[in-house]
Amino acid sequence: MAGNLEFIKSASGTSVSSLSVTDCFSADYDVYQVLITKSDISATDYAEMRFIDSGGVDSTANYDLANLEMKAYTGFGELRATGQTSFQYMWYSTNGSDNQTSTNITIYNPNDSSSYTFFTLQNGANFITGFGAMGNKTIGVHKVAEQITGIQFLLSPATFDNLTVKVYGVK
Amino acid sequence: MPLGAARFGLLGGVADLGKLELIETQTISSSFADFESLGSYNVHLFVLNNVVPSAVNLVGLRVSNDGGTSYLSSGYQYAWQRGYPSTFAERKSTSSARIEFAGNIGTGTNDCVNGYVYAYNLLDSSKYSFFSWHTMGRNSSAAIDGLFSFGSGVKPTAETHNGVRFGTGSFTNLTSGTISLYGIAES
Repeated sequence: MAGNLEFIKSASGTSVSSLSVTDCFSADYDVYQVLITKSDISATDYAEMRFIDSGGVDSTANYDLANLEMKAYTGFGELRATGQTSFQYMWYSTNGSDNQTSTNITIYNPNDSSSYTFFTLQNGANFITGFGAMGNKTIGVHKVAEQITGIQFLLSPATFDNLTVKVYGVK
Repeated sequence: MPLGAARFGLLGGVADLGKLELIETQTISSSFADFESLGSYNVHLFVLNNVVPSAVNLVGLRVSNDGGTSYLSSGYQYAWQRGYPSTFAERKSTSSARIEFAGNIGTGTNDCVNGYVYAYNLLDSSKYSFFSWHTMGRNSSAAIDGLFSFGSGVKPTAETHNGVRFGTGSFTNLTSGTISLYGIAES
């Protein structure tokens, strides 16, 4: 067996409004695991995600998403969006360095030029000061059959105080 | 546009193989399943295989901050979705004695829970410890052949948590099954 979870690439940034991980997808894998192991956000906000194709970061209206907000302190919430210019609701954070969780994203078929690119996401329970824990279970699709080469995470208007992204291939 | 510095790491364009590293597999025999050798990983993965509680019950976990001498019995928060053919339900708490993550799981023939639990930042003294999971179980006493759960939890104390204990929802023993612990290298 060649391996199981194979480390490909990492990227990190401080005081950035966006972070791109380029050329992390290839013909070597069909499925990828992306770990967000550090994410400190300067304000209360949802982090967003876009894909990178041969033309650069795709900011056209190709993104659909559904997110179940699982809240320890009140009823669960549903977020959904179609035809957006990004995956708008990836993970939620408030401005604290100790209480912001890690996120695990699985991305399917990004390198396949004949397939849409799909993802599933789950994270630990972000701790929202004054409220409590909230986790996210999320799915999304980029509705263009094309080769995706990388990912970008972004915030607006907040910034990432710290962001670390690790990309693995699943064998 | 990026406002500040960013850096990248790439191993010469070649993948670094084998980053899901088995730390330990525990075979349960009327006991808790305690994991107190966590290595130095930032992300851990627990895989549950045919785990059966000692009575029809939820399944949960606690953490230790003293290497397993004791396990913390208060202050957990969780939120998870449970579903089976007749009912979907939200399970949640902001003040719990454990993180419950599956159930109720039965004890009859072929009753068990399978699934995974991710743990984040257990060994980081500056971060809370976070968990996420997705499981599937069975409870024949309630005529439930398929019962899913997925959700998230946190022990909201910034300290090192160097032990993880799996037990029932009322925190009694498990009866059987295996739980394997993996570390994700480079995480």
